[in-house]
Amino acid sequence: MAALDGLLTFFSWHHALRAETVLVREGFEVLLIPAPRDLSPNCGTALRFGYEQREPALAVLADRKVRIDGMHLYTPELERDGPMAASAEANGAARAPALQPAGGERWASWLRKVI
Amino acid sequence: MDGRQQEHEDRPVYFDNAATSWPKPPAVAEAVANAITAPMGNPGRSGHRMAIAAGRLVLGARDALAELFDVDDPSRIVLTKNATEALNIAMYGLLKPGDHAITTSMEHNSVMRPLRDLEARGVELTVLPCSPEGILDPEQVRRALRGTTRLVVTTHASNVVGTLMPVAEVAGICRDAGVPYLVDAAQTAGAVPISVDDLGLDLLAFSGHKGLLGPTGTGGLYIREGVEPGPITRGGTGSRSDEEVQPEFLPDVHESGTLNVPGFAGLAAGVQHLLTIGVDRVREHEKALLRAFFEVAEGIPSCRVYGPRDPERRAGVVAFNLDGVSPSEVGRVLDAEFNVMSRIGLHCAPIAHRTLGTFPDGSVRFGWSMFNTVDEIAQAGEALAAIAARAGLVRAGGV
Repeated sequence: MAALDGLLTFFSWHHALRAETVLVREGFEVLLIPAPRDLSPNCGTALRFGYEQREPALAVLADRKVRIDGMHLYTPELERDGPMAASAEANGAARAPALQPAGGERWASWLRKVI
Repeated sequence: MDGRQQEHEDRPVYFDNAATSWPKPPAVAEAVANAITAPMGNPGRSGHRMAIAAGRLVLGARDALAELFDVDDPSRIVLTKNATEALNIAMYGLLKPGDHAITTSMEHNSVMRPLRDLEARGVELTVLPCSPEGILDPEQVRRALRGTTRLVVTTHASNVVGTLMPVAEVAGICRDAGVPYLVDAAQTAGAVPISVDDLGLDLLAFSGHKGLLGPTGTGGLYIREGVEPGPITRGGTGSRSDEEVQPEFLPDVHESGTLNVPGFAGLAAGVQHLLTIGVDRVREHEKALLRAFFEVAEGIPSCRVYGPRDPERRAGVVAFNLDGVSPSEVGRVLDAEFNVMSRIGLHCAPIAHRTLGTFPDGSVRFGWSMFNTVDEIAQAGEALAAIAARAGLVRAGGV
């Protein structure tokens, strides 16, 4: 799965859902998420996509008249590794796993190791 | 993978009943399907038996609502597409430039946006400040009344923190002053017992698709005799067809155009279900869910819960945050990882979040129904604990 390291934000959820439909039809990999407020004060839904594909993606959206508010580089808050992560790991702290869909089981077992 | 939301095999933990309720009782789906497949016409437009059949379905909804809210005459319940439309009819129908209106600092935008628009058109508006827990002192209403006050509007329970407003007291104050009182019962209809006479209110706006368990696209407005908001929509009503002016009698004055017949057939079934169970039992159940949630939240040190701690003072809605992680991220992970549906952000109530001190980031919100269980709350608690622990690690990692 390509890194969905870009984020499109919108003025309304209507535009967000249209963007998803339009881009999926053209073969892009995308994912709707609750919009981070600091990036999207206008609307509660945003669309993750592969940032390296921004030019063709924006062209498709413009052609299909889908309005966007903004475009950003994006990493989910709970998946960010800061510069201290490496030394924290060396000190025995578990490295937080990347986002896994429907990962309740894996999450629970990771949690047992940590607390 | 096309990137769409991963389908979960398990039944979702649906904690967003404050936005719309799910599931609905099976009878609701049956009623909706029946209203489409059985021979049905357009109620009130033709004299043939198929139109009459549709009309009977709609009357069934009105009658059930009248029984639920303790209303003598079902004609005084106007059927709308949602609570927002009901609120708009009451506010735009009663207020004109030069009038004064009173509301609170905990209202939903479906109250605030019309009032701010009316204010821009010359209505004077007083917004009564509530405490950081969302509590209103009814005496503030008394002090704010003027000779030109033509409407007092409050929510029944905040859609963010669930704080119950002192509706009976405010109704008494308004009655003494001869001022109509509009209550927004979007969060309480079907979840908290409401008798329009016991509470003494004049106008009650409600959603059909939350606590009343009907489909989306339904809502209504009860209007007490003697209160006469003008219509905000005009059109064909199937009555007074010889005239080109809107009729003045209820419910037609506010019901122009064709009604959502399948929607109201479903709503009738939802309300019947509630009448069978009893709203007081729903209330007891939701109080138990609140107690379970408070206990779970106590076990998570970084979980900050807003609003009053006493379940007697709040409806089955809670707002909270986890220190160190934004509400949108909590909601995202709850959905993607743990199959828990919540609503994040400002909940269409920016003024409420200003009152609570959570503006502009907002909070996570859980809203429950009679179909939620204490087990689900325990499950969500484990999810929140995991997210909180994860947030702690990310901070330790030097973000």
